[in-house]
Amino acid sequence: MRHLPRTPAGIAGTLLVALMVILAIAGPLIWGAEAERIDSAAILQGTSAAHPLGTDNLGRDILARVLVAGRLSLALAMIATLIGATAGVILGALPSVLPRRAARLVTGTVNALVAFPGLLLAMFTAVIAGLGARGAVLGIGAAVAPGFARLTQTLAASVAGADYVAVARMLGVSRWRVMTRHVLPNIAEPLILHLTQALGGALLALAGMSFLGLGVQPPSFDWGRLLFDGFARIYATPAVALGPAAAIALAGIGFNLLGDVLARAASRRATPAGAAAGRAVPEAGELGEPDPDAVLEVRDLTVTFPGGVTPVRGLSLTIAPGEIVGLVGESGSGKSLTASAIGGLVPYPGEVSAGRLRLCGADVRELPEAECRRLLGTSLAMVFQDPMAALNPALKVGGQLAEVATVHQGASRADAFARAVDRLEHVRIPEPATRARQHPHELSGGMRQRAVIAMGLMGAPRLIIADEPTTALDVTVQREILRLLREVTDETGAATLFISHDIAVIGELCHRVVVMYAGRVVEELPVEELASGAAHPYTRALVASLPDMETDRSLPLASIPGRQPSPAEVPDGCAFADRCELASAKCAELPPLIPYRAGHRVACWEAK
Amino acid sequence: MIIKNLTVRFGAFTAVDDVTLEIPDGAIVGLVGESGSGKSTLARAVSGLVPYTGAVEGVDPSRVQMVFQDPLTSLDPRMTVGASVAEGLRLPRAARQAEVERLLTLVSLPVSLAERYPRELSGGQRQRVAIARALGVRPALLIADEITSALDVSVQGAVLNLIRSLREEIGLSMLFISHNLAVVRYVSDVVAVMHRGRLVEMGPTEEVVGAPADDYTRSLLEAVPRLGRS
Repeated sequence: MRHLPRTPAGIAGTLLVALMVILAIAGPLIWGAEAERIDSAAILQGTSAAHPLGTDNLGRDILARVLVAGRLSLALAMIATLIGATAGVILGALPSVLPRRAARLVTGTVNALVAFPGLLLAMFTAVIAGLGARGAVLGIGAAVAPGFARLTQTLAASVAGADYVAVARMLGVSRWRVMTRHVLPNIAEPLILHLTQALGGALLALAGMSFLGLGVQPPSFDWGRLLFDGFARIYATPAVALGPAAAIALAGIGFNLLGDVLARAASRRATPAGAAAGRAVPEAGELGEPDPDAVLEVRDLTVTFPGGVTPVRGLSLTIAPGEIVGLVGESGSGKSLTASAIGGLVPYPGEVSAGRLRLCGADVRELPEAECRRLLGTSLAMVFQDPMAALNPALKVGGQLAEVATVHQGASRADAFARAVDRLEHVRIPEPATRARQHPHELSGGMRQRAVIAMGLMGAPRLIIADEPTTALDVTVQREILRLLREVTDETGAATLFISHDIAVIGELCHRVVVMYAGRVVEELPVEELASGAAHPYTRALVASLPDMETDRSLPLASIPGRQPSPAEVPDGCAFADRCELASAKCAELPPLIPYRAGHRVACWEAK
Repeated sequence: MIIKNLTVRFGAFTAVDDVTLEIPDGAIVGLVGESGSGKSTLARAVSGLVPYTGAVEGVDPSRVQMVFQDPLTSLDPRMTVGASVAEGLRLPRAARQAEVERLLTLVSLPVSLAERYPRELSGGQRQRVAIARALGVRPALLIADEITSALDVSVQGAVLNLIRSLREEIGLSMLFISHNLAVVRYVSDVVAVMHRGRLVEMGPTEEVVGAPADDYTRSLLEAVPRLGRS
């Protein structure tokens, strides 16, 4: 909320509200006398040079009266909103503090009030409280309150489910303190936004009440009252009514625009301020000849986001047919974005650049769009962590699989469905014909993940990208999915890129391991060397910090001090240097990824 | 302390089914099971967050504390580390500062972190703050529910080491819940295995891991991924 977006609406809203505030403060001081001066020689005049908006039945200048009335209009609107907001927030917060039965009663009352038309509630209250400004303010307050109560109640209920509220309860903190310390501060922002908009609404509603004769009574006057007085003459001298009407409209628009802009600014997550973008883009050096046998060949892949955020920095990767390559790294290392970039799925406003991005012998960036889609649709299979995200919950499983065959391979619907059932059987889903007619939610987590793999097998996949496919699954199910992935790779001869944060899973499944840290590849090694032959200090620390079933329980576990730099603050030199025991002055310079042993490359100056 | 015949039902569904589990003083009992096995529900019942039938004996319910999986959601984002840790303390204002410092030191965090907000800390540091906060009420039992699952491997070790050192230094009794058998094996003295709401096996760690008696325990052990077992 600190930086309001500079949109025309935002600027207009801010200016209008500022104008209204200045008017409310300065108006009566400057034009106060003018607005009260009775001039019997100039009664009920229309527009003239001396009176741009004409005069009223006592010859008072209407323009001056409009300018002066701003203070009362705004003040009354503010008091009404504050009354409504205070009553509403208390009413909305009570259910979280009261015992269950009383809470239900309050909730029911709020529900009933919300269902009641606001203006009716306001008029009802105003009539009871007595004609005049006080009645109108109380009435509008009563009309505003249910909305606040409902909002507070909903927001408070969502915060009340948070873990930190559960912790506070366990610590023995009283309900009242939980409300004031944990709940209210965390819902204050949307409430304040609602307040701004409610202020605009209250202003309009008050003017409406005065216009109906239920609000401010003479000799006091607000914009609504002036409109009421001028309305009778609107056909003879329109300016007398249009002046106050314009003031009401401008104020209402101003508060609503400002409220909208504040709401939008609050919902927008602050993008981290970083150095200028493009610093880490690698120079397009010698690429060499493309590898004709590789299924996937990526050179110098870089993904950047605005604000200097560069999650992937010059990554190179080659995968041969039938090979399973594991991409391992901690959260924030850029491994998932690498997969997205290969599949052409980097979300806006991310930008992908690469020296080479070849899939099945063709550079995907040089293909015409239709051909590129066909290539990705039939030869690339993607498996994600959450199979529910890859399956449309509204469609039956078999139909979704069949779609691949009808769209990309031109198969008839019956043929496509038969193939879908065949593929489901292939991934060992029991009773595939029955399952194909079910919706995704009727399948277990492991079975859904099998269905997603089966979807990839509808075509003839050359490359399978699996991004944390077993992280959400139980270990016993994980094991079956890993086995299935291996079988599928063996049988189709596809290349597989398997992405995981779990180095043990990678070690069990993959042939070759690529270790990423802060957007760069720091080591690439055959899986046999992972347990004891790793050369990069980061890889070694990762392996050492992982407890397994043979870890000596009498010794403390290894752990790496510090934290991985965020994608906006990766240094020019080795990103691991400030967590590394071996770091020397040389590490200020970026170590290249160079051959270390056969099939083993490492980016470290100190690797021996 | 001992949990006796504890059962939790949600409508017709029995999440925890007649579980009896003893947690000896100063011991760490590891509880493993897959999603839906009822291990987290058991934890919430013992902490008093979920109604149950049965009994939890030998411990004052107000002295049971729980540490949650994700420290980012279990710490109030609008409160400083110091304010969060001080929240459960029943001490005069003057003594609080010193106690907060003692607790932060106990979980090997620099005292200067007290002024920071949770978002400024690393995942491992945040989890240690959550542990320090729980220790503030001098708990008789600390329940750790998947406390390393949301952490990266490189910082997980520090949190596990802390758990073990707390048992040695202040004799804390603990119920350590995780789906990760290797982690449970590393920190626990006793391992209990849950499956579909029931306790299927329980015994000293080396025995359960080395010579499991139950078929389900065996299948769990089989499935643990191992580095270089290809």
